[in-house]
Amino acid sequence: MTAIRSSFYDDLTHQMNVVGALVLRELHTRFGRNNIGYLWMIGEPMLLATVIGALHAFQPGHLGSAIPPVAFSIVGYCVFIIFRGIFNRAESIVEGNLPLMYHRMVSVLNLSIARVVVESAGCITTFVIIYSFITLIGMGEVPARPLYAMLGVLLMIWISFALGLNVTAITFERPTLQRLVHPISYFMMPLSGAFFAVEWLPLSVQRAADWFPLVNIFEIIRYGMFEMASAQHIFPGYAIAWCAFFTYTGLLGIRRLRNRIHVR
Amino acid sequence: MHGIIKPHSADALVERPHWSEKLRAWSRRNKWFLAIVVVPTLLAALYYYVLAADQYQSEAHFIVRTADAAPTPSSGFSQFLGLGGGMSASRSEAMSVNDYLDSQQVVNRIDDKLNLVERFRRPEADVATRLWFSQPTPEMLLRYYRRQVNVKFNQETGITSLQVRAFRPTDSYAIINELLAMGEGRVNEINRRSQTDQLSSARRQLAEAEQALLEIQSKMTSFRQARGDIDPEGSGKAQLGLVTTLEGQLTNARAQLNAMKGIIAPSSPQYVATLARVRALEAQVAGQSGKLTSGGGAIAARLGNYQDLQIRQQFAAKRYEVAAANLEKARDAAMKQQLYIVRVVDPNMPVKSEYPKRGEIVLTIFLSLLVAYGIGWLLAAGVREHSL
Repeated sequence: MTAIRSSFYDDLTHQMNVVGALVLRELHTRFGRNNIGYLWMIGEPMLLATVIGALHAFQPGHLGSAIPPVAFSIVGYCVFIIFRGIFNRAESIVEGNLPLMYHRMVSVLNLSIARVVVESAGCITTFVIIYSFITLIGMGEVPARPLYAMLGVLLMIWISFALGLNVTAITFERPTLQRLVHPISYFMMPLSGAFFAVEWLPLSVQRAADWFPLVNIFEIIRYGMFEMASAQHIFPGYAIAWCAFFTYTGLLGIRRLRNRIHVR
Repeated sequence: MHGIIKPHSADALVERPHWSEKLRAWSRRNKWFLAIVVVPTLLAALYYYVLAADQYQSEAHFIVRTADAAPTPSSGFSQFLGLGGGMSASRSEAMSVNDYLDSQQVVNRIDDKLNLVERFRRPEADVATRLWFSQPTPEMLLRYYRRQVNVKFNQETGITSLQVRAFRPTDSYAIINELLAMGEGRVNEINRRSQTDQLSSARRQLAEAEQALLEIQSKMTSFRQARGDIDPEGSGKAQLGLVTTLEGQLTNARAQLNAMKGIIAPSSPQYVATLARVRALEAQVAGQSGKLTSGGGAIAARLGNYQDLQIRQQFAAKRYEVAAANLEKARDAAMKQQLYIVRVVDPNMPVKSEYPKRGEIVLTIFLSLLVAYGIGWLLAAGVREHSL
């Protein structure tokens, strides 16, 4: 260590500035400046979620659960697209930002974080807007235990970010594996618990579902949103353990990546 | 890691800025963060930790059930596949008590009994959470009551949980006990009413059947008295027997007479006596069989009327039996449909104040504001980029 040591706080602000700049750049490259520009960050998920919600609007309530169906599907879908967006786009992080890697201070981690911020901010805003609207027209209920809901969303962002790091590391210069990323996230949709509560499943399947961290996280979120959701299937510690594990492997992976990136 | 290398002054004699200076500079740089996140959170924390009054919650659980069927918890998956019925009657009945406990009527009654207004305006309550008016309109009181009293029905288990919050432990305990008593009273009233509704028609039918039966009986009695005949059927039979014996004797006598005709002279005393006997018997037979059939006082006519009455009496008796059985059935059904409240968890006397949940509320506010700030920053940054 040299005598010149900047404080941790300064480093942190510096990193935050880098990430902030990358976020803005991300907004530009993704959404451009035409028509509503970066507002597409919110508009895109909004379109999808509205359609999904509308599909469920004409269903009777899922019998046997007191959870309003529209609210249920909106919660499931909005949170799921956080996962899907981060997970799917993780493979293109390095290629898309190769010129940036010229700068020493832009790391793969910064890029990942910037992506995560853009995706989750868009989805969360969408969710807040749609859910408020739904609650106003009487199809949803006011979140019963907001802290649990926030914890759940945070865990979802975290696990998507962690898995995304792994995806970035693994798929780098491996086109075959890149092809697999989209199908995987597509199959996750029915499996992740976005559209079912574990309670509805037969007992034997419930036991298996409890081992699946994504299902767990969805259960936590639903427990936070709905008065009537059950707390039988939530194991925050277990979910956090998975998040930590994936974060660790992901960080190792992108560390090895840095040395193999050649700026052309 | 990889920061921008800043020129670092080698001499340590350079005066370091005072910490208050630093703080001021920092807050100027982050004024939006302060305004949107820190200040409101601090205000909320100030209110909740300094001003807000303690509230004590008492809780009780009960099930409303009928005698015949326990509400079956629905397994979600079969219904997920689109099987399963709708709202069962027992569920709506269970909900009825909850609905009652959440109504204006209960609030008014409880206010009369326990002086709810005064309890919600305790001196230890803070200005923001207590009931604001000393003479609230019923609607106001109901709204406040709904804020303090929570009736939750769990559809999976069928258990209702009742939570009451007040500013003194004794208050919430008294209110929740009164509420439970009222709920039970209400259930009894519903039972009474449904029972009388269901049983009244059955009772009426039974009474009518009884009346009809009595009428027939009295008719029969008066008939017997008018005829001077306890049992027309019996006397008819006896008459027939009499006629039959007489006719038998007559036949015998005639046979004797015919036998005598060829042997002794008609003027002999034996013959005359037999002839006289035949004549007398003939007269007897004619008289008695006339009694049997001809004329209004005849046994045949009487018997007709009597049998008519008998048939009617049998009908009436049958009807009475059916009505009695029906009443029994209705009683059974009413008993089966009786609601009763099962107390699962008795109300507790709160000891420690758990409301308002200060930490949770403040944390929630802080995190929500943080998220709002982050999103706002993103949007604002986007706008600024555009304007460049």
